[in-house]
Amino acid sequence: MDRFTDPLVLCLQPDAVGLFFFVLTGVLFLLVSVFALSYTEHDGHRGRFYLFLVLTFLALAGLAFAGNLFTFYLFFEVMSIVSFPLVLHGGSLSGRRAAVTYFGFSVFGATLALGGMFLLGGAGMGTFLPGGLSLPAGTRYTLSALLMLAGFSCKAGLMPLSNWLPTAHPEAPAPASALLSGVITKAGMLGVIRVVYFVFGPEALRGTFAQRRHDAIGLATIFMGSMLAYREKVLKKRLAFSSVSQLSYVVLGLVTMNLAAFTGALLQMAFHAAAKVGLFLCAGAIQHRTGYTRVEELSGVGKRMPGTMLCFGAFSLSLVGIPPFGGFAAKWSLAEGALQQGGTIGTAAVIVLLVSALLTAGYLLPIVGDGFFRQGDGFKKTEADGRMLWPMVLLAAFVLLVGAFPGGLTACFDRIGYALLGGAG
Amino acid sequence: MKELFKLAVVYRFELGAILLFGIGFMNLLLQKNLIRKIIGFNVMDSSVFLFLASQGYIEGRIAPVLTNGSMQAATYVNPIPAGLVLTGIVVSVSVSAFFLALVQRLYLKYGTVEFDEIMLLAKKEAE
Amino acid sequence: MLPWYQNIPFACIFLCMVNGITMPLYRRGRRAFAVTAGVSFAVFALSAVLAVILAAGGERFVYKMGHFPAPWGNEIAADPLTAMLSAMFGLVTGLSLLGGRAAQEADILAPKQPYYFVMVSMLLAALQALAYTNDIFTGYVFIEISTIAACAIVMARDTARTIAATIRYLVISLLGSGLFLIGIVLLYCITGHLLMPQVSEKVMELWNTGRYTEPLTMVVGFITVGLCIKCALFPFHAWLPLAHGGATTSSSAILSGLVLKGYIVLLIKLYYSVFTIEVVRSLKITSVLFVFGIAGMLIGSVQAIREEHIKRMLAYSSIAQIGYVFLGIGLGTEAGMAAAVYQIFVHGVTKPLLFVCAGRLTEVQGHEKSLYRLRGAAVTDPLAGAGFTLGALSMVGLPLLGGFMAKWLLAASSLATLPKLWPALLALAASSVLNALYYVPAVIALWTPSGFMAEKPAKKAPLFLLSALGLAAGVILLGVCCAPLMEAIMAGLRLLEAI
Repeated sequence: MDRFTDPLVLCLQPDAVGLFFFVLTGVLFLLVSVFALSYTEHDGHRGRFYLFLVLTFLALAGLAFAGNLFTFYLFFEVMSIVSFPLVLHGGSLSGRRAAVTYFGFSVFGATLALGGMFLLGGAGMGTFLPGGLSLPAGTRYTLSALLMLAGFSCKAGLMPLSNWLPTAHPEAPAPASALLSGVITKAGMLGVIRVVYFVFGPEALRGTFAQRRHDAIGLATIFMGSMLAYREKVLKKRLAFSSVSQLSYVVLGLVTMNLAAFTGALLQMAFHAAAKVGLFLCAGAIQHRTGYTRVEELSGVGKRMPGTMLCFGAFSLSLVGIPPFGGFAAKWSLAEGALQQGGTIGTAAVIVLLVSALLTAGYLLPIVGDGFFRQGDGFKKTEADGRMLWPMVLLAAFVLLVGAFPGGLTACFDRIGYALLGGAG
Repeated sequence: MKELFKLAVVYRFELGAILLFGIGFMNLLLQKNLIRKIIGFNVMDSSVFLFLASQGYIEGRIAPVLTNGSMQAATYVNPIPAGLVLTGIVVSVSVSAFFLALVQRLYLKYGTVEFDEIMLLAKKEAE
Repeated sequence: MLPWYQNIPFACIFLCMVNGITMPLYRRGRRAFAVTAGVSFAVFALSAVLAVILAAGGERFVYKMGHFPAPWGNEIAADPLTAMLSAMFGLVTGLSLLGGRAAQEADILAPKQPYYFVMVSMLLAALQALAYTNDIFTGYVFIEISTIAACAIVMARDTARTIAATIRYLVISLLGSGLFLIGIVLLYCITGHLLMPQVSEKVMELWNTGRYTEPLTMVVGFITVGLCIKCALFPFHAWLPLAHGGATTSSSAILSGLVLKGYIVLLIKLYYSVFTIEVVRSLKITSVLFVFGIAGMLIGSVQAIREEHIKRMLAYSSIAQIGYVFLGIGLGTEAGMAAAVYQIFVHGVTKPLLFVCAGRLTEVQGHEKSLYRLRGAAVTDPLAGAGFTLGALSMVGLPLLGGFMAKWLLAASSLATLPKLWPALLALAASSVLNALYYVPAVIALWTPSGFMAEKPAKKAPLFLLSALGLAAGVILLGVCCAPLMEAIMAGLRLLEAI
C-alpha cells in the first residue's frame, strides 16, 4: 500500500490522437486570435484577454500530450481555471454569474472524474496504452469508468449536466465563446477517448453498463439539444444548445466502439470544431457590426454582411450534414457505425441522427434564408473587416473542401482507430 | 443494602471524586456567571486530585517522608500520585489566575460577569 | 557518550522556553520579534537535521531526562515522524510571525508586544514537547501550557470581542483538559506506570487477560473526547470561528495551522504507542471518529459558504480540514493514519499561507474584513492575491499542490477498507465541491476591481514577501515530493508501533 504515491508522475507523451487534438486546437486558436484583434479593439482589457487566451492554449497543449490520467487531470483542472477569466471578461453581473456557473460545473465534472480516478487506484495510473492497460474486471472498475466518462463529458454538456453550457458560453465575448464551444469542449471528448481507449480498452468496456448508459444519454442529449436549440431565440444561446447536441454525436461515436463510429467521431470533432467556431465568429461579427443578438433581428443581415452570412451558410450546411460539406462525412461514418452495432441502440441511433439533422436544419437554415432573402433594416453594407472576415472564410473553405474530399483525413483517423480497436469491429 | 453501604464507605474517596467531577464539569459548562465557571473548574480539577491521591493511599502505611530511618518501600504509601497532584495543583492555579485576569478585563470593559450579556455586547461592537 | 544529535529535541524545547522567559527583558517589540523568529527558524533547522539523520538511519531514540532510568525518570523520544513535525512547527511559527508582523504592529500595543512573544515561544515549546514526549503526565502538563499560551495569543488583539472569544475557547479547552486528565489518572491507576512503553506493556497485558476492560474503555473514551474537544472535531467546533477569526494574523495562522495539530499528534502517539491500534479498532473508536470526521468536513464547509468575514471563513474551513484528518484516522489502517499525518503537514502549511495573505490583503484595503469590501485587494497587492489563490487552489484540490496529494492519499487508503470506502469517497468528493463553492467566489471577489480599493499603491512588505514565498513553496513541495515524505511518515509510524 505504501507505494501508491509512485504512479502519480507527470508524463507527457505525444501520440497520434494527441497530435490531432493539438493541431486542431492550434489552428483554431490562431484563427480566433486574429479575429479577436478586431473584436477587442475598443475593449480596453485586451492584454488580459490575450493573456488568458494564451494560457488556455498552453493548458490545452499540455492536455493533448498528457501521458497518463494524472497529468491529464492536472491540465484539465488548469484549463478550467485559466479559461474561466475568459467567461468573466465582460465584467457584467450576468457575466459574473455565468462565470461562476461555468467554474462550478467544471469543478463538479472534474470532481466526478477525480472520484473515478480514486476508485481506479494505482492500477489505472500508468502511461496511456493504445487498446487499454489490461485492468482487472469488476464493478469497481466499471463504475470508475462511468464516473470518469460522466465527469469528462460534463465539459461537453452531456446530460444531465448540460444546463451550464448555454448559460456560460454566450456571456463570454464572441472569440472566447467560439473557443469554449468549439475547442474546450473537445478537451472533454479527448478525456473520453483516453478513458475508453487508452486506459480501459474497448474490450473491457463493451457491453457494460457504462457503455450502455452513455449510449442512451448520448442519444437523449442529441435529441434534447436540438429541440432546445430550435426553441431558443438568442443567437448565441441557440449555437450553444447546438453544441450540446453535436458533441453528443461524438460521445455516441466514441462509446459505440467500432471503427466506423470512431472515425466518425473524430471527423465530427474536427468539422464541428471548425463549424462551431466559425458560427460563433459570425455571430460575433454580426453583433459587433450591427448589435443584433436575437434571431428575429437577423432578417436581411445578408445584405449588410454578405461575406459573413455566406460563411454562416457554409457552417450551417456542414452541421446539418449536407454533402459536400464536412459534416456529411462525419455523420455518414457515425451512421455506418451505428448500423454495424445493430440492436435497439443501433437502430435508435440512426433514427435520432436523422431527426436531429432535420431539427438542425430547422434551427440553422432559416437564419441563412432570412438573412439573404428577407427585407433588412435598410442600413448600408457594413461587412466585417479583413481580420474578422478571413478566419471565417478559411474555416468555411476547410469545411467545404476537406469535406468534399475527406479521404485523407478519414484514412488518417482509420489508422488511429485501427490501432486502438485492435482490428476488432 | 448493607453491602452497598459498606462498598460506598470503602470507596468513599472515589465516589466523592466522581460526584465532584460531575458537579465541577457541569458548572464549567453550563453556568452563565464567569466566576462560577471558574469555581466549577477548580472543583473539577480538585476532584481529579482527590481521586489520584486516594489511589495512592495504601491502608496501614505512612506518608512518604523518611521516618525512623526506614528505607523499605513497604513502609510508605505510593509517593508518585502526590507528585502528580502537586503538578496538577500548579497547573490548576495558573489557569485559574489567567481565567480570573480575563474576567477582570471583561468586567472593567462591560461591568458584568454574565457570559451571555458579554457575548451580546461584544457582538454588537464593531469588528 | 550520546551521539550529538540526540540532544536536539531537548535543546529545541529548552531554547524556546528560555527565549520565552527572557522576552520580558526586551522593551521594544522589534527586537523581541526578531529574536523569537530567529529561535523558531533555529528550531526548524535543528529539527530538520534531526529528521534527516533519523530517517536515513530509520532509528528512534529515547532521551532520559536527568539521568534517571526508566521507569522512574522522565523521557522524551524522537523518531523521523516527530522530528519532521517539530521541524514543521518551527518553520510555520517563524513564517507566521514574519507574515503577521504588520498586523502585530497594528493590533498589539507596543509595550505589550514582548509578552506576546513570551506566549508564542511557550506555545512552540509546548507543541514540540507534545510531539516528543514519552510520558503521559508530561503530555498533560504541556497540553495545559499550550492551552494558556494559545488563549493568550488569541487575546493579544485587545478588543472585547476577542477577549470574549478567548474565554469561550478557554472554557471549552478546560473541559477537554479535565476529561483528558481524568483519563490519564485512570490510566495510571490501572497500569501503575507513566512512561508510554511501560504503560503500553501493561495495557496489552490487561487487554489480553480481560481484566479492567471497562476502565480501559473509559480511559480511551475520556482521552479521545478530551483531545477532540481541543482540536475542534465536530461537534466540539463552535469555539473555533470566533477565536481564530478574531485574532491577529500570526495568531490565527499558528492556531489553525499548528495548535490544533499538536493535540492530534498526541492522540496518534497515544493510539499507536500506548493503546495499540488493534485495541482502538476493536473498541470501535475509529468508526466514531470516522463519522464525526465526515460530519466536520461537510458542516465546516457548509458554514464557510455562508460566512462573509474572510478570516472566519478560513476558520470554518479549518474545521473541515480537521475533519479530513479524522477521516484518515477513522479508517483504522496504517495507510489511513499516514494519509492523516500527511494532511496534517499540508494543512499546517496551507492555512497559515491563507491567513497571512488574507492579513496582508486586509491591511492594504484599510483593514476591511468582509469579502464584499475586500474586492480588488488582490489587484493592489498581486503577490498576496496570488498567495491566497494558491492556497485556495490547494484547498480545492488542484494537482501538483499539497491539498490534492492529501486527498489522493486519503482516497487511496480508503480503497482497502470496504465498509468505509463509499462514505469516505463520497465525503471527499462532496467536500471538494463545497470547498470550491466558497474559495472560488472569494478569489473572484479579491481580484475584481471595485470602489473599495486604496488609491495609493501598497507599502512594501519584505517580511510578508518572505513569509508568503516560504509557505507557498511548502505547499508546492508537499504536492510534488510526496513519496519521500510518505516514506518517512510510514517509517515513523512503524517505529511508534514497535514500542
